[in-house]
Amino acid sequence: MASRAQQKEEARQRRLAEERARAEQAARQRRMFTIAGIVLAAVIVAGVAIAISTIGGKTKTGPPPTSAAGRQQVPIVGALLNGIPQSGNRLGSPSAKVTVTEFGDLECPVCRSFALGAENKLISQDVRAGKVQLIYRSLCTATCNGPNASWFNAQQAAAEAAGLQGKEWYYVELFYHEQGDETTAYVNDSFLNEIAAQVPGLNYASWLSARSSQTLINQVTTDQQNAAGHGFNSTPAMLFQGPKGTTSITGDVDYSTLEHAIKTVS
Amino acid sequence: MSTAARSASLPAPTTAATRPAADRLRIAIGVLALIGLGIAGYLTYVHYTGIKVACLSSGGCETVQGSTYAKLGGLPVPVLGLIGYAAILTSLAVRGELGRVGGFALALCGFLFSAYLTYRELFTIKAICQWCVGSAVDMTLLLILTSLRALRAPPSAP
Repeated sequence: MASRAQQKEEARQRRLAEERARAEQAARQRRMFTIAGIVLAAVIVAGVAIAISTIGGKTKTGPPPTSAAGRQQVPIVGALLNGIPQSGNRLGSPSAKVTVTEFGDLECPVCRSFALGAENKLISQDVRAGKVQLIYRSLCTATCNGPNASWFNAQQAAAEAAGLQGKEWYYVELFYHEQGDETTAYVNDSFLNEIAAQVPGLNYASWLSARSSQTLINQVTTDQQNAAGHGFNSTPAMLFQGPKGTTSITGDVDYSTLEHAIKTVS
Repeated sequence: MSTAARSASLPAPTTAATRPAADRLRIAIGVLALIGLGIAGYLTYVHYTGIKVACLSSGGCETVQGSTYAKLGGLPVPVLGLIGYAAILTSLAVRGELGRVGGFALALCGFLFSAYLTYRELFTIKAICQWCVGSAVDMTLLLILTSLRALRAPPSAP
């Protein structure tokens, strides 16, 4: 039979074990609450990031050409391009040391972002100063991934048709400024014609008869083969050519990246 | 003596037994975070220099990198990845519950955002970038390991 002291010791051990179990359970509960809170907070943070990304992916469109805001793009583009020599798909002096060939898709929102950002700065500084000439060529990306794939040749040829009158860059810039949502089929004859109607000094009748020319459609195909030859398969893609060689850049880069590439080849 | 005071004096069970496993988890998390840093660092370098990204799939990487989803609020997504992986690596140096739960929280955020970007790649951009897939897999493994680390360790573990 256990002594009184042994019984007291056993009772003390049981009490300690119970307290330990209770403390462990309380600690487990606290941890579960902490983890549940962390999961909730992480879901909220990720949700906000996803919302920002989704909104950012959808709002980068311009006003329709027929709207008042669309008409306001004409003087903006005019201020950018007026006074700079143009011929065919070239903007700038043909004697400029550096040639930058841009492969673009008029429905590509990243091209729009690049055109309205770093490229506009390139035009207003380097192209206007006669240091750089810009060439525009076609490469199907966003259009071919969207509901307008069959309109790619027509939209790019429409810009080239303006180039026959030395106004391709007005057409390209106005298209980018008034670009619609790439996931909608907004490009049609009416849209292409409305952009042309905004190009300052364009002979609309001549442009209209030229824009469905097979020669221009063939040029779009040649441009794409040219892009493939340089290994480009995304837009915007830029090829820099100068006295010191050739380099290339893809994506919506900033102006300092363009400047660095120009310095590399000039 | 209060229950709290007594429980504080109780011996921490299983600490010695769980330490080698905890160390292995920390090492594995560290290695995965370093791999993630490498991927995000390379994509950040490619973004800021404008050079062509090395890609096994034909143009998938450039298409994804050139999409509107490649930036979040003006910040390139690879930069976010760089910050995330660096933060997970830093959480390993933070002792106690804060480091374990903090690492888990960061990995969970990264996993959810990676899952969203993979969805965009498959159904919106319709192109696959193997660097992004690699990062998504890395972040998924990090989520599993950081959750094990957070759940398995005793609350009093260092």
